Amino acid sequence: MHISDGVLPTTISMAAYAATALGAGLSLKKIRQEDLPKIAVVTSSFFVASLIHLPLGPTSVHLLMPGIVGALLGSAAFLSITVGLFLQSILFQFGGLTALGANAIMMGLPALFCGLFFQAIRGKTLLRNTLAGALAGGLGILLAASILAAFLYTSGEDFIGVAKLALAAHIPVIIIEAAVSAFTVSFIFRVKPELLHSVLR
Amino acid sequence: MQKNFRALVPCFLFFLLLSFLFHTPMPLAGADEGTPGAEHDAIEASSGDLGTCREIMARLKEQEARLTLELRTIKREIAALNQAVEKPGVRDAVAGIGYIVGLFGIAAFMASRGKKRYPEK
Repeated sequence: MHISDGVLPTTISMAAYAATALGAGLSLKKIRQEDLPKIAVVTSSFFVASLIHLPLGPTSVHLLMPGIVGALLGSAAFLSITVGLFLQSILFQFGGLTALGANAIMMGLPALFCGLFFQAIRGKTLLRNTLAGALAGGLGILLAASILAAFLYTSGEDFIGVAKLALAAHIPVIIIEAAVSAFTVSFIFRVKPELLHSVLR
Repeated sequence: MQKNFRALVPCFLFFLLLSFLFHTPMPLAGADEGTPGAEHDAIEASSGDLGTCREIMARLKEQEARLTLELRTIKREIAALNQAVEKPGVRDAVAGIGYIVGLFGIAAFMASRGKKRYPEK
């Protein structure tokens, strides 16, 4: 799920760039120094996750990870995702540099929302944390697909049609993502639970 | 590389054709001499020629079939190679991780420098 170069109208991609710069600036302001190593590690995993293709029937899908990044990083997720997507676009040719703003919003906003959502519903027990992780992981993809449809709507596509297509294509991703997020969160909760306290001020 | 190989195929066929042409006229020249014995010889020679001609043609076809097969495998290999080249590999992933760690390292360095200054004041 990457928007390629030249798909969006120029005004939209410029606006998306501006919004991304604003979001990245805000999230940069909120970063605490002691969180930097954690952010670096999560950003690296986000960056590499799209290379791991899971075979699924005739095609293969890859992880997108907005939900789990948001859950782990909170407000720093936007910056992390912008950096990850930038490097993906120059090293892997995923998406494109002109569409970077739109891609960052498509992944960053769901990440922020999933972060809030995860912190709101996770309780103190392992089970609740795992469930919250799974929900956040699935929700991330769902939101990202809707934002993708909204962006494509601005380039003249039919919104409902694209949304349906994007959601249908990502149903397996949602399921896999939820499972991976649940596993990750439950593992972190058992090993190092303080990692799950992300900053959301 | 594919183009070079392609260019070789007509050259090879042309060479075969040339060798075929230069080889056959020798016995045929005897056929024009007119004496009955010579004619008989000529018929024999030409039927022999027909045999060699067929043989050569058969070999040529066999060679061509083999070449086509080889070409096809080479084309397939090139296509696979192209695909592999376009795919981001381990190098790109490691490079990206290096970038990220480096970036956040710089950020941590800047933050730590900023922090040290304040207590000194």
